[in-house]
Amino acid sequence: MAATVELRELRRTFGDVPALQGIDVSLAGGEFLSLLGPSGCGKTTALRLVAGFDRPDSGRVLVDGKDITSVRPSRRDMGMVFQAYSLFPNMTAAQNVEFGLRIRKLARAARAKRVRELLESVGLEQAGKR
Amino acid sequence: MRRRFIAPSSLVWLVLAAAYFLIPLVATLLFSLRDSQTGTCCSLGAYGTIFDDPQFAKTLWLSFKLAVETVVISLVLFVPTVYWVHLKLPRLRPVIASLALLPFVVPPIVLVVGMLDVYGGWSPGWFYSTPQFLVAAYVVLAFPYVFFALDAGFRAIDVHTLTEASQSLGASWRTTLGRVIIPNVRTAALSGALLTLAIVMGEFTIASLAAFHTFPTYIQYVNQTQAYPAAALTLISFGITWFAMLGILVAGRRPGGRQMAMRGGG
Repeated sequence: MAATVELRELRRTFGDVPALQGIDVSLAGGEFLSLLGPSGCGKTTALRLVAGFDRPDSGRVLVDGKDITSVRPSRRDMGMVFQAYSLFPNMTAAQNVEFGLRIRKLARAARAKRVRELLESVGLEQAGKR
Repeated sequence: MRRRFIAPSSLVWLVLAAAYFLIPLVATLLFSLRDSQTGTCCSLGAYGTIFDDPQFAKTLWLSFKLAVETVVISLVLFVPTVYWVHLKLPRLRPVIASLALLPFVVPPIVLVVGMLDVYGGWSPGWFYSTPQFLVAAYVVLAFPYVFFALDAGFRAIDVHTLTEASQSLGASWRTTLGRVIIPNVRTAALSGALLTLAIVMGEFTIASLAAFHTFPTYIQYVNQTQAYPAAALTLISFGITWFAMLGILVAGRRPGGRQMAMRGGG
C-alpha cells in the first residue's frame, strides 16, 4: 500500500510573502518524514499542497511517479489530520468514522464492521452513538 | 446561591412588554366576538362569515403557496452562494451584505414599478400575468433576511476545515454541500425560512400595486367593508401564521436534536 511521494521545485507565494521557495522532497514507500520549523515557515503550506487544498505557483507533486498537481483533493485518496478539530458536528462519532467509507461506496455491512473495529481500537465503542 | 425569583424590576418590564403585545390582541378578540346585529357580546357570527367566504381559503392558499415558493427559491439561491463566498471569496462578503440592504432602502413601490417595467413585454404570460410574478419580488424582499441568517450560520461553523476534511475523505462538492455543510447550517436556514414566510404572508404593498389578490389584500378588503369579521380575520391570520411557523420549526428541528447533545458532550 505504501506509495512514494515526490515534491519537485514546489513554489508558493502569498502576496509578497514567499512560503515555499522551490522545495524538493523525495519520500520512499513507508518512509517517515517530519517537517520541523518555526511558525510560518511553510510546513502547513507544503502539506496543503500535497493534500491538494492549495495549488502551487510552480512545481509538481508526484505520487508513485504520477503527477497529481492538478488532481482535486477528493480524488487523491489521501488522509490528512487537521490541526484544528475536524469532526462533522452534525454526525455521531460513528457516522464521523463512517463518512469516508460511505463516500467510497462500501457496503453497509462492511462499513458497520469497520466502524466497530476502529472505535474499539481506540476504546470508543461506547461513544459511537454520541 | 442562584436567585430563585425574578427581580421585581424585571417583573415590571415583563408585565409591561406582555401588556404591550397582549392588549391589542385581547381588544381585537373582544371586538370580533360582538354580534353583527346588536353589537353586543358574544357571538361567533363574524368568524362564520369569514370561514364561509370562499375568498378566505383561496387567498390564504395562494399566499401560502407563494411563501413556500419564495422560501425554496431563496434557499436554493443563497445557501450555495453564501457557502462559496465564505469559502473562496471572503472579500465579496461586505459587497453582498450591502447589496442585501438594498431591499430596505428601495421602497416597495419603486421595486414593483421597476419590476413591472423590466418583466413587461417579453416574459411569458404564466409568469407575468399570474401571482407567480410576486415570487420574483418576494425573493428580493426576503434576500436580506435569508442572507443575514445564513451568514451568521456560516460564521458559526468552520467552513474551511469542514470542507477540506470532507474532501480529503473523497467527497465531491455536491456530497460536501449536502452531507456536511447543509446539515450544519440547518438552524440558520430555518430561521431565514421563518422570516421569509412571515414576510410573504403579510406583504401588502407589492401585491396590491401589481393588482393581485393575496391574503393580505383580502384582509384589507374585509377591513374596509365589514367591521366585526375584519377583527375575526385578523386573529385567524395571526393564528395561521403562528401555526405555520411552528410547523416549520418542528419539522426542521427534529433530526437536529442530536446536534445539540453532541456539542454539549464534546
